[in-house]
Amino acid sequence: MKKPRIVIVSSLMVFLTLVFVYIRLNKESDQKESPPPTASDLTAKAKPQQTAPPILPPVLAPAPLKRGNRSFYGTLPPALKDIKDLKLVNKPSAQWQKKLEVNLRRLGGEKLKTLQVSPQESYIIPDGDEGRMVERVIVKLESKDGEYTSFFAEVDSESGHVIKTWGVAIPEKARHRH
Amino acid sequence: MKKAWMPYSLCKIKQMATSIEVVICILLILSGCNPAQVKKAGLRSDPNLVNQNLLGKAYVYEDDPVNATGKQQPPFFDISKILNRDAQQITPVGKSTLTNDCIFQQKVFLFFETDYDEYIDCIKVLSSDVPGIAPLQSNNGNWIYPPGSTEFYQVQAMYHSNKVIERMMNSVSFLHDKLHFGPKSAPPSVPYRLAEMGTWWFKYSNGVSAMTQTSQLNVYSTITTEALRNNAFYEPAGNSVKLGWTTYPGYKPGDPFHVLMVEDTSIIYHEMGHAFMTTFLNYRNATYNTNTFSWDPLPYQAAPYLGFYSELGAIGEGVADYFSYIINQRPTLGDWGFGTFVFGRRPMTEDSPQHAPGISSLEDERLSYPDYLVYEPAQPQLPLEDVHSGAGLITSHYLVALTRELQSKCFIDHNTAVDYVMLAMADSFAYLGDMTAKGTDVNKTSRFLVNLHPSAAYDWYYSVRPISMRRWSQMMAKNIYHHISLNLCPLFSKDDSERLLDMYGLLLFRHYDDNGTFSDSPSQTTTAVGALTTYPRFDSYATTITGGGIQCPFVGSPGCTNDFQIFGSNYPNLNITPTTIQPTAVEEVNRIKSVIVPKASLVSKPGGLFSSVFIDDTQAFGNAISSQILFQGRVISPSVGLAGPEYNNGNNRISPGEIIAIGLDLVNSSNIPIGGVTVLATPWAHMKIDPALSATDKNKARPCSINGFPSFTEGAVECGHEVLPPNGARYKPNSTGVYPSQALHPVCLVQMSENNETRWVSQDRFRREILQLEDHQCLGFGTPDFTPAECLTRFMPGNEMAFMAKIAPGLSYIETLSKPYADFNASVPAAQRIPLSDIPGPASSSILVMELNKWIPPGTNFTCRLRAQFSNCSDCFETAPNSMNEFTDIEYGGHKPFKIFDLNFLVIE
Repeated sequence: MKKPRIVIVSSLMVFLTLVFVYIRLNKESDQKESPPPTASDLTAKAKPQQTAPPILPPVLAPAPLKRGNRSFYGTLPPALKDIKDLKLVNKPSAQWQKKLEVNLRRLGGEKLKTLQVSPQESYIIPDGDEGRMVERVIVKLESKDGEYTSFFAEVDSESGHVIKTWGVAIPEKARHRH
Repeated sequence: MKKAWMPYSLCKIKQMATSIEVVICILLILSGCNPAQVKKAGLRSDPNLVNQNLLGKAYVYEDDPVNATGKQQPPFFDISKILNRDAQQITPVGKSTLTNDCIFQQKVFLFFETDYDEYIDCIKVLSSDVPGIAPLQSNNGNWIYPPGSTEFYQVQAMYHSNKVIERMMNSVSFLHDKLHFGPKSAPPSVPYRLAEMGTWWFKYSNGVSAMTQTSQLNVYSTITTEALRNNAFYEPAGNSVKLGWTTYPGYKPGDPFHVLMVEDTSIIYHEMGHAFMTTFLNYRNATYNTNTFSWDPLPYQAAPYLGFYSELGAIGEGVADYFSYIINQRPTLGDWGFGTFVFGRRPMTEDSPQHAPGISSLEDERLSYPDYLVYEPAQPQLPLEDVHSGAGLITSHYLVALTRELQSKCFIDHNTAVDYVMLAMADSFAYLGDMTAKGTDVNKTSRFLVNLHPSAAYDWYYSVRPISMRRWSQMMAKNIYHHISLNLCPLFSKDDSERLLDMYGLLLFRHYDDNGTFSDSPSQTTTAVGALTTYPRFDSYATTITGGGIQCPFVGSPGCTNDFQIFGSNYPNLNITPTTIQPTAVEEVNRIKSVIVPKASLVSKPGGLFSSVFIDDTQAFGNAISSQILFQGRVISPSVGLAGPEYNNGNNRISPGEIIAIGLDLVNSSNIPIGGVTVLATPWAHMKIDPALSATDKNKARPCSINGFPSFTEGAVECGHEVLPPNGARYKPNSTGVYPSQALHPVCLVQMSENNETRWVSQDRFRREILQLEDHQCLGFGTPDFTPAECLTRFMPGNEMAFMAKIAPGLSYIETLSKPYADFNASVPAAQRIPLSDIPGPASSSILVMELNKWIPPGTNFTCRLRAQFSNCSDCFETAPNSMNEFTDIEYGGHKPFKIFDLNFLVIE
């Protein structure tokens, strides 16, 4: 007797569901029994297949816009819809790094032994209703008496003026002890 | 030839003796290679043989000499004796250079339980930071090198660094799981998409930013330069850990290094702790790029250190010490590296014999805030203002005690208890360091919860509202309550948590600030200005949801009780009902040791604030201070041609053109110590735009009358919430010359005579109407910070805040740090006295730097409105005594959370 097509399809669906539930239960029990693997364990194994379906990520903050090669970090002024329309308060200068180094050497004075400025990224930040081109650099300093530090700095792309600094090296050497 | 006439027998004996010497020499050399271990492994029997059992392995020191042998070892101890006889896995098999891989796994919703993110070569070890130094190559597939060699120490550094990484990857997987799956009573700050974002490491996969260049953590195992003498570093900018050496009496350049930091495992763990704390702070600091379908980092990050004394830096040291305890379960740090030649080893429990008498683990004898803020175990009677002492020790002692309490109360092992602590800590730091200002993934609104606003987050995090002991302990209490007491371990109750915090004097808050008040809301339920405008408060967590608990971020997520978002698109912000909710209150009976005092206790010396000011305006100091500040990672930019050290005249007064250091020697008038004093000279909202004037009128800004200054007859106006900028905007004209109506203004006003009346006005008005100075004659002209409102005098951007660890009852800040030394010197014979040059005194972080325009006419009178706050303040954080309304981020742009100090001075020639 020929089975109706709906019965075959239904049976197939039930079978697939049971297989899926079985696999899931097995996975869960595996997870409960085995301790979480260490990085070494996982490295020794093949990397698990990343088959998770793409989930649209929440926008935690506005994604940076682009103008030329520079990202714009921040929010465009309300009157603007396109980054191209953003008026800039400065123009990039090839001299910015030299100017920065001159200022840092002046501040370091006679104490300064070596100075190293490493450019990291060029980008644009909001400046009122305009934009400002800036550079992120890493500054490394060494003094004649052996003191050392390093930090990030955000620097004006034209004048070399330091706008922000952060991430200074954390030393373990305490202050005076007796 | 002398040998020719030697008798044969004698010659033979001599040859034999030579052979014996050679044999002895070989044996001695081999003994230096620890033959017991290497022979056991069979490696040296055939150097070309690849031993499959040793692939990726090596012999290392499991612990430092002091703890490996169980006794304090002399400095010249033969450390090779402590080599572990069992080979340890250093890298995965197949690595040819000394790198390791990191794998972070997290659960995901829907059909697949886990997601992985793997970072190949996440960590690399080199012997030093000399450019171009060759990486270590594996030795026939293993990493076995002679103990004491630079190769051996690189392997040693990798083994112990990787221990921390593997431990933390497990902890982060755990905390991510517990924060994101199942019903919760508070939204997590650790982002759900941690693996995808890459912020679990210093990595931003496919990121366009140069941060990818520093995403690999570099560990330098043996740097023996002067900078690393008695030192080690974590360097965020180079993303590196640098391990140094310890000097010893009589050391001369070229002498051997008897104690290396890499030999002390606790120091390696500590430095890795700094690195991981940095990741916690930056978990949220990335944005999704819809063009590249990847996550980009923000342009700047939240760092765990400000370059000088601050409570944030001290918390960082305490947390880093705790990382050592996590790994070796031993509550001491630096027994070998800092304990052999220098007094730097640190205890993490009160029962340690390193502590002074009177300190014990009894409830009322623990290290507590603020009593022990300048306490240093190596010199208990003499104060030291340093991040590694005082608040750093209180932090580590609290964390160790919390771990042990959790073990005891929840019947869990050390590792699980550490996971619980890490959960509370990571979520706290993820929130406090959030430069996106969103605070949590669940916040789908356009408003912000922390650090005011993305445009202002840098200022709020680094200066206006830096992480203090109060803020950190409040966040820890909140997360312990919501995620441990209400979830993972109800046996560790809210009371248990509060009592423990109180033993350390850290129950400095009245509630947990867990109602999610938006950053731009007023703290009071309704703030009215005049009869016209009201500013209602909105708490993002106010909405109650059927079924209780908070919503998981995605519809259909396992464990979710409903499909609504707690706040956000389902609830238009202005129609949330109810709009406010009471935060979780602290049980006041639990507050026994934590004493809070009113801000009125912080005063200047008799005779006015100027009598509390110490000024150094010598030329030498002007030069020295700029370099000193530079080496703390702060860059000031003097207005060349208008001010500079060349104008400094050394008369201890304030004169035109000078760059001077100003220290505020504030006094504690109460009978309780004051801790964590912060003085801000940053711009704030103390001026109001006169609506009667046109938008481009430069006279629009009028000073707000605060505590009666200035008076209304002196030109002041009444101000309220309406002057506070929700985005932290500074007072400077836009491209069309229009000034913002809500802005942060420079702190210094100038006195002007107008129609035979004395008025306090902005410097912009004074320079235009009285001095007729052009923009280019103003301080800071041409810089991004430029505003004509600080044309004449300004606190230098980059050095506008000062920190003071502690002010003892009845004393000034400087007396707190110097009087015990004076008392000590008075009590001992002359030979035992501490020379003045060796007395530490205040850290340079207590100094503000000011510059004055050379065009200021002598006789000009200024008042600079400085704001001060301290951590154990009773009325700096809430709107009223016993109030449950904590000041919001926007209110930190004004005067309410602070005591205002009006620094009045006359410029003289």
